[in-house]
Amino acid sequence: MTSNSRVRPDRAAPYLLIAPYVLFLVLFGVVPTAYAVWVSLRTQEDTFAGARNWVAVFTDERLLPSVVNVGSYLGMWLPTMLLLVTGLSLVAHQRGGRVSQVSRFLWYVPGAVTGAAAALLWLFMLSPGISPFSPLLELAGVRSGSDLLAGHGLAMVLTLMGAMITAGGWIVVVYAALNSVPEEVIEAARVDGAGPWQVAWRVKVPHIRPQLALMLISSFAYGTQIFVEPQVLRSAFPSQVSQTWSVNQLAYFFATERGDFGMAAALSLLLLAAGLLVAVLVVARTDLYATEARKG
Amino acid sequence: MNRHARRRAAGAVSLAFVAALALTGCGNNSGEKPSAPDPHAKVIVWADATRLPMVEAYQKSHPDANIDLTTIPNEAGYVQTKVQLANRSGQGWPDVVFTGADVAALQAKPYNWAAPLDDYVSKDVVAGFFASSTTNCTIDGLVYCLQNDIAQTVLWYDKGLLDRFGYAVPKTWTDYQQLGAKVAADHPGYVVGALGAQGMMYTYYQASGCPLSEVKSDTEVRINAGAPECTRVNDLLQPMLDNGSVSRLDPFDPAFVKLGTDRKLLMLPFASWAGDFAFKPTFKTPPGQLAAAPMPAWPGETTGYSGAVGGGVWVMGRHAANPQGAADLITWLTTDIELQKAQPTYPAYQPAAKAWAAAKANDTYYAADPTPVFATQAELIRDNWNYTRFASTLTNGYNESVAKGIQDRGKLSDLLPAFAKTLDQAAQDTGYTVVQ
Amino acid sequence: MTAWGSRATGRASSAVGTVVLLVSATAFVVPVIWLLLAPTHSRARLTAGSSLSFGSLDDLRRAWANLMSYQDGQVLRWLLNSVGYSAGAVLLALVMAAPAGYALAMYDFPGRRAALNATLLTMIIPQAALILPLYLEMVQFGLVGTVWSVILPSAFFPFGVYLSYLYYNDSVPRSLLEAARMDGAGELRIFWSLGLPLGRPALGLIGFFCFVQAWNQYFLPFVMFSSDQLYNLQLGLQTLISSTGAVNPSYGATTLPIYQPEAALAAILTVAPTLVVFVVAQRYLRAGQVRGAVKG
Repeated sequence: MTSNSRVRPDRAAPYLLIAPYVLFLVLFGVVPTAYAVWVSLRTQEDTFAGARNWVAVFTDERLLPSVVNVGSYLGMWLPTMLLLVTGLSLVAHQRGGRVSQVSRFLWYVPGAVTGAAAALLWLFMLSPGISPFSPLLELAGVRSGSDLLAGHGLAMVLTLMGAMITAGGWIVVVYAALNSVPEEVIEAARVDGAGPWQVAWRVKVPHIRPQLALMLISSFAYGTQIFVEPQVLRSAFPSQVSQTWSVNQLAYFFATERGDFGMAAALSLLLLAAGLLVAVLVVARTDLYATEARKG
Repeated sequence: MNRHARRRAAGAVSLAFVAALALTGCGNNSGEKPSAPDPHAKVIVWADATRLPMVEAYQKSHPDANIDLTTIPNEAGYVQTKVQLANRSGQGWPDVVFTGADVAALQAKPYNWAAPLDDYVSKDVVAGFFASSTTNCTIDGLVYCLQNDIAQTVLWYDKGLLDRFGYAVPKTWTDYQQLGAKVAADHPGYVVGALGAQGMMYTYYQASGCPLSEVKSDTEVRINAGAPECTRVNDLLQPMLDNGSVSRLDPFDPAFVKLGTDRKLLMLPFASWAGDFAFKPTFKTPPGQLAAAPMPAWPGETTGYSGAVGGGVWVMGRHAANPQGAADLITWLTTDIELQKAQPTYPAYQPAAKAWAAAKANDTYYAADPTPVFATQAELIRDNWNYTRFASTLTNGYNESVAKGIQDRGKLSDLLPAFAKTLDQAAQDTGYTVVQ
Repeated sequence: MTAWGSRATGRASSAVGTVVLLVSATAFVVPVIWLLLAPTHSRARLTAGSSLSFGSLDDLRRAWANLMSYQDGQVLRWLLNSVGYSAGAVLLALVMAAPAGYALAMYDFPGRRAALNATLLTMIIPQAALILPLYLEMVQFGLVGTVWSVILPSAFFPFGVYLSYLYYNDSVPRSLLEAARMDGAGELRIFWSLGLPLGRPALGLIGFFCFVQAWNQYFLPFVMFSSDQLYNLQLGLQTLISSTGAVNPSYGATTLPIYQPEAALAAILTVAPTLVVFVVAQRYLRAGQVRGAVKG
């Protein structure tokens, strides 16, 4: 055995290890995406449509309102999410112990309620008189659920729902990442006289940058593609929430009620492009693919 | 990325495209089933949970029938999506489906799914339905469905409250408006109507004959928010919205329901099923108080016409292997007297409706027997509202423009034309030309 | 700063931390407490505003009986289906994510970036675009209408691979593998006896998130199944509730005895398993914490 040179690993090994995943990646990820591109260029009768679906999507009068809706939602929800998740994770990690454990469980709980169950839940939560939050609602001068959702109320309620539903899961991810910060580094900072908030800001946050980056990419995509919350709210308040409030709802509408998979695909690819733009930026800025910048 | 990796990536991408193209090869579009009808082939039925017992009743009384029943969500677009997927893959169409106004969309491009029943259902049977039902189901001269129930609107009122306050039941819409003004002045907080949901569009606008969904031919539809039949409704209701006697809420919004449970609901023109399924369980009107009156009449008309809030239909598909079996099922479901008279909703088949009314006449919940009013109004549903290919926009569009607009204190005279514009667009998207 | 002073600050910030955690956790969990208590009330009491009180066991029993009366307890069938589909998806996803994440983090090989990019892309694409291609694929494979048409796509979990990649990148140094190689171990052997055990915390997390994603699937069963016996709980519930007046009373013209208490009970059935798996996963995560062992 040579002493100075590193042993060269078997070149086939990574391919063997990654093969099962790549099979699924191709079957359920890449091929459907490529097909979606294809379908966006076809008519409903499956003949060549060229750019017709794309033009139809861009000129649909429901597109602009839905983009504005999603934009205002994103502007409210994304910062709320990032601050809430980072803040609560850090506080929980710093506090530690039973309280932290119980809190993490409780934060997760609303996110487990989805679909028809969530519609029922939010219908009751948002109606003064029958909601446990009635005192708060009455304080805000809300007389009915429909009242609450009028004007800008809808975006605010959706932000609240979105935060409550997704924060818990992200806290779990970020907390797990915080757990991997080496104990010695934290100790060293404490010995140097850093208070808990400085430890958090100077030591922990930089260490979990990859997870925060993943959260940013995922959350941006989730936010631009918001679908579940407005649909849920819609089954509870059909007159107050539009069927095509968000861009993703509009795509879903094209696919289901118009039977137009081509337009649905075109619009979905636009959403994908928006998400990819941010993803590429974040990956580049945080060097997410690097394997050299390692600890230990 | 080095050149090696880039070539590999390019190779992977092209492979993906080839694989994707392979997918496009499969499935013929709206594939024809060349096989001859097989009287023993199974009939694939999709119904929602409420209709399930009806189909099971058929299976019980026809043990030889080969029925394959699946419960589906009562969700807009469910049937359309599955039919379209079936069209693209060449398999998986249902044979019988319970749906509503979507039948018109399902009959046309791109679905091309609904099948005419004329060869499989006798003309006598078809003639036994109420006129509005036959109109609903007739597309381009052929019968594409049989209606299960109609939801004719009547003027529901709380007799006890009305007597207590000393008011008379309005016979004309002018009386109705005056009553509203009196109620707003003497008893603020009490309501005589609601406008905040698409069901109320049928109640007021369809009952007036406002042309928003008037089919002239398979390619022509009349939508005109400026017609006198529309503007008179705006003029009727705007002052009532402003003085609070007509609620801006959805009748099923918890805040409106509270009005009901607080016994502030004086009157509400609404569907015939509302007595049993809104007033009794949800608004909790006490027994012996609720009564139904005919719809008020417009000046120049002697009778009060109704709208229709819903009403489901059974439809057969073109790809059915056993069309006669499917049609027999549909016929039985809509015309069997024993079955229909036990249904919660008013039957669309006239003999069954008579039996239903007879069974209901002794219902002690009501202050007076509502069934004669149901029977009269069933014949008075405005016939210039038809099932169109843009029916889903009619419902959603009303919610989004008018119902939401009045919450934001918009004026009906602005909201209705805006709504009509959305309908124009939807009509054109589905292959109609719009006339005024 | 004296030791005494920093301890006092430490205690104060610990108290603030505790308050933040408990207040936010309470706010998050109140809606679900309402949900848990809802079936113990009668329909009348619930819609009148039962707030957060316990009703009666009789009402609970009635709600359960009503729910089970639907198609002879088809709700339980749906529950079993959900368990089966989710378990299958999690198993397959873990089998794929563990080696894939490991390979992406531990090796530099041509195609690595492409795999990471493809993973990111497929993580972000909206579902509306995938309805048609996934369905056509399943038709091609003859799997449409079988349980595999739902299990297999649910097992494709790119987010899990990303988590796995980040974890291995962060917590397992290549030097460790070097050492094992020098001892003569083959690559696959190293993965099996070193990489896999070290990855347990991440796998617990990934398994949990994959379970949740598979459990909440609505759109896959919607598209793939044509028999209600195969529905999972989410689709089944929507089928049941959308036909009754529980959430949207305008559908109330039905003889099904399903109202708000029954819908709340069904919602609890949907939510409870996720929460149970959460608690189990948390335990597993903590048991697998191997922070110190990685250092030589």
